[in-house]
Amino acid sequence: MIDRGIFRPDDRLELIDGQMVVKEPQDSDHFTAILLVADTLRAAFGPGWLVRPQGPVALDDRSEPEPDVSVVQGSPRDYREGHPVRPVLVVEVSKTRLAFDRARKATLYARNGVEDYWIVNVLDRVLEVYREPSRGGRAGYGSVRTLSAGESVTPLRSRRSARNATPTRGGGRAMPQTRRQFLKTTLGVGAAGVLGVPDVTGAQGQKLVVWWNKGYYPEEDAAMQKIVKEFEASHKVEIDLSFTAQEDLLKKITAALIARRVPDVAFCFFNDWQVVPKFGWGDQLADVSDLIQALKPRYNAKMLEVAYVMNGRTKKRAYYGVPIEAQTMHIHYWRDMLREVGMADDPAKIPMKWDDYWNYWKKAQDALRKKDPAKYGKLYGIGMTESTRATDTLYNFEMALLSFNGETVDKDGKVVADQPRNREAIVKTLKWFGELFTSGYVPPDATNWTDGDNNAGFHSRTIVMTPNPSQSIPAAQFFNKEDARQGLHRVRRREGSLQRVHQGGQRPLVPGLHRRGRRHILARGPQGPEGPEGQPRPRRDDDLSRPGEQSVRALQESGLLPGLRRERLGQGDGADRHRQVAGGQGRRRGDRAHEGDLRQLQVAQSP
Amino acid sequence: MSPTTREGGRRAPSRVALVLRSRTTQGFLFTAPLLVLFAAFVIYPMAFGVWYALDADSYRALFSDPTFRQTVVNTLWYVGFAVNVKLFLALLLSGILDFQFAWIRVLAALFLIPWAVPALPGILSFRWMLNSQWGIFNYLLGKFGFASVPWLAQHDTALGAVIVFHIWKYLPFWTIIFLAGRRAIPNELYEATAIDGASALQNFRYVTFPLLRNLYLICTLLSMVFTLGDFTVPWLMTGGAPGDSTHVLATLAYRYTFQMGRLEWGLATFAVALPVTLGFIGLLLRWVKI
Amino acid sequence: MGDDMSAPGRRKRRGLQVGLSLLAIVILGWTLFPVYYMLLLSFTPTDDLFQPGLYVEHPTVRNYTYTMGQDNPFVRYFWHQIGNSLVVALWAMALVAAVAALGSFAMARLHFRFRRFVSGLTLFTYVIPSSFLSIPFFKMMADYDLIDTKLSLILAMVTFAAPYALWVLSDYARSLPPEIEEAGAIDGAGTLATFLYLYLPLIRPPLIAIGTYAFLYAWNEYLYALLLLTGEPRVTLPVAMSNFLTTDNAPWNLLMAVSTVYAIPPVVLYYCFKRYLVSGLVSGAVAGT
Repeated sequence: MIDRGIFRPDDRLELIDGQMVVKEPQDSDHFTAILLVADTLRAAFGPGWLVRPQGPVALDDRSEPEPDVSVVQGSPRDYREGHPVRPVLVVEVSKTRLAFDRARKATLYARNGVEDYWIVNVLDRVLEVYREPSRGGRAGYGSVRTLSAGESVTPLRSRRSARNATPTRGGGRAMPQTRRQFLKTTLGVGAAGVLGVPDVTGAQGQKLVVWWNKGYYPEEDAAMQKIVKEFEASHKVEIDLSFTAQEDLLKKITAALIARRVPDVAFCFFNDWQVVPKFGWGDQLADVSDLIQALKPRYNAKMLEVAYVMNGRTKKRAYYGVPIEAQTMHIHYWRDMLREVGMADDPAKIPMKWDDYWNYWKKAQDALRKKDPAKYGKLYGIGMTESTRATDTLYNFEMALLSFNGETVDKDGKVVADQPRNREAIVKTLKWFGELFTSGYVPPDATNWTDGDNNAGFHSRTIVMTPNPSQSIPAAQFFNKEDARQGLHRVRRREGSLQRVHQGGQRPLVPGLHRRGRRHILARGPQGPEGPEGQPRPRRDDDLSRPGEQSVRALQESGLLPGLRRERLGQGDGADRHRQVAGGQGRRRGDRAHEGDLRQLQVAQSP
Repeated sequence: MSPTTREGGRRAPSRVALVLRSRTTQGFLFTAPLLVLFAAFVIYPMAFGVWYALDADSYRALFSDPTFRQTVVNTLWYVGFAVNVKLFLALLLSGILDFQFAWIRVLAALFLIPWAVPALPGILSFRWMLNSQWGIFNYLLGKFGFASVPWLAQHDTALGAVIVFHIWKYLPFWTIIFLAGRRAIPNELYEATAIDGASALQNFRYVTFPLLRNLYLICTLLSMVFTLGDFTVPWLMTGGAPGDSTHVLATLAYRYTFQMGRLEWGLATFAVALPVTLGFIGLLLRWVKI
Repeated sequence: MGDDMSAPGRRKRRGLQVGLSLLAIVILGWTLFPVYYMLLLSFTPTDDLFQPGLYVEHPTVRNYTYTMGQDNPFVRYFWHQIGNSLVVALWAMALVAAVAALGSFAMARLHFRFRRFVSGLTLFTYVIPSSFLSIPFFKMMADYDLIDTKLSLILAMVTFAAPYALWVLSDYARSLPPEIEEAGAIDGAGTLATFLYLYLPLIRPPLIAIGTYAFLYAWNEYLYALLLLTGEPRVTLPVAMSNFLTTDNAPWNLLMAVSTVYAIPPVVLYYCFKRYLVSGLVSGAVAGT
């Protein structure tokens, strides 16, 4: 039995609820499994975590079990004075004592708040994952999943600090945990900056209140509903999910935070700059740093900065939100209009230098107006939103500001707008922004546009080009079924005259467009260099030489700025395809980053 | 307290019955639902709001904000100009609707449509008509050879649009009020002046207006108070655009509260208007019986 | 005035008619054009949306079929939402009528001592813009644990619509003859019976007027509905419509179709009760003189 002679015989006993219990017989199969599990976990957890094979854990006064593998925070020296008390993960490799591990041990671990408990079931060659411990009289785990070969699981990895940091009102311990898992789930499937809020409203009973930003197209909401359904089924909780359009939702979130009656999770497109910094500072949001730590490897570091804000009470920075989307600025333009006046409509041939780029659209306006004054008398080259009531203005302005090499707030959150370099950049940007308008190349109504009005202007074919941070312009093609058919008709007749130019990373393509056989050409706009998978390359001085190129990358680096909010970051069913697309293009982009011209990229085919 | 209870040699009513029959108790009982509503839903939020609005820093911030100063000017225009033009027009129109022709009654019925149609659809319609590129107004201007006007994109015309919509929407209501006021004037007075050979203008000058003056003043005050708190029309029409230049107090408070997350500024903005409102209430209380 | 039927009088009268007709055309144009334009847009196909004109070249009822059939993401819960609006408006109507009828009886007929105090409070509520109170109101509703219930919105509507209703009703009640109480006293009826069987039937006309007023008030409410209700199937129609506007791409013709449907109930109600409305609502203001 102890044929390797590594362990002393007394290792085979452990203290469970005051009883000495004989452990699993230590055969080669068993021990190999333990070593494999330990190795895998070491790789998964990385530095800062201690993976202890068969180390004792001091759970309570009456129990000091020796789980086959346990994971705790810190380094070996941290536990010189005493055994660890609260492992973040416990794994038992089980062959002959399966029933015992499933029942007594599970109860024990659950009662002591071990949040992640796995049983490697060697007999059936499956992994059993127990989560959501409930204490109290009938201690046990609320969630049990059985994974077979090929499936994967991510450890919850809750840090000890996280437990202390969740002040729930009327909430009970299970709630924040579910909320965290919910946040994680939404990220995992890749839906959309979440805000976790500590004061739980209807927390009695297992009900999570979730406020979600209404998507631009129904598929977005349907995907979210699916995620929620699955989460409800697997975690046995009830979720009250509601969708509200962004501006109204912001109003609701603000009112809720002021009144301190909040949902458990709220996701709004405006969270990153209108909610998280302000209410994070006010100590009104839940610290979700543990969650972010656990998910860090899957993030582009730049995306995380939007949620890393200062708490005015603790005087410390922490993560007060879970970024799950980023948005890029798309350029939409009518190809047929450009062709009509003999200008190149191929994105590869549109000049990419800053001034040349903008002059191109001015030129288009002049030429079109000259060619057909009756038809194009009120046509404008650039659909730039310049009103205080639209968020598009904010994105456009800040992208321009970054392109002019300026910033208003530095990495540490200090206001640096008055530094000479930034002052100059701000003046330049304002001048550029204002001159676009006053020179007559932007529709006069642009100072009164709401977020939807540049879309309306574009659909009306009274502007040649417009930047838009969402895919709503092409998506509008199938809002009304019949209208969509007409719209497609028009598009086909004009050979895909609706043109998108992507700057920066990719948004998921809208499946409906492909199914209808619509040609969808993705190309790069005036953009910054990026490595594969959207990872920014290290900064190089020559990156700064071209304002147009610089904008996206600078945006990504800005963190505090809201330009990139709707890029999907996650993985999972739907998102994998996008990732592949993005990955492929990312490589191309990386290859050609310094060429500085546009390359047309391949159409992403949907299944 | 009523005489019947005292008669008939019955036993004197118990203390409880007496209290129940006192006017004060009965008055309170009948107004109880109202008082409960006010206590629960007006006094409490008012107290909360005032408590929040007491911070002097908020006012310092407000008065140093150029947007706030512009907003005060806009509000004065909106409340002062729009209301008075509206009520003056209403007074004139009520004279027209007072004629006893059959078709005038049809006209009066149609004339009330803007008041019956909710504000939101009306504003949407106005905004589409005022679009500088595909709006019907600029289209018609173009037909007659005029240059197009960016109605909602410059301060004066945008604020003008808010004022015009306000007049469009609420003119019918006040016209009807004045119409009722005119109809309440005894006909004998006009018969008397007719004998003196008074012209229509003289009729108005010496009979109609003096009798309507009080009503006109009260309506002006009421309408001003309502307009001062109007959020819907300016917000949906311009939203403060262009460049936050067309806010009124209500929309600015909204902007401070919800877009900047500054509740204390938002409540302070309302508090600035409070003395004016309270003054109006004082005047109204003196003139109006409830 | 000018009822003499002499020849110059008749000519004068005809001149007046012509002048008035011209004015009437201007007034009607001013009044109806925005409404006409709303209707026109609602019948416009998407392709023609940006071609300004005074009539629709290719009218379509598609926007209405989408709306009625909930066949578009923007109108997915149209019937739910219009139902919510209806429920809230009807309850507001009933409660405002009840509260104001009771209150007006005390104010106008009982002459009780704290009348001034109650009327001051009422007037205060009447003139304080409800937007001033929206956030505190939200917090308070949360304290009462009523957030996300229709009841919270109904209570808000009753609170803000009751003062005017009280004003109109008490004014009307004061004009009633003092015989009511006397008749009640003769019959040996208590105060409550007097109120129920003698007073209520008499104030029916202004009661209908203020009921309609309360209905319209609740039907039009946007800010409070937005703050107090959450979730597409649970909000009222104006909130759903503003969702159109704040999204990134608004199908304006569809929006106008919804607008039209949304405007129908108040217009119908208004024309049904016009008789009561004009006399009823006006009395409050006129009474001040």
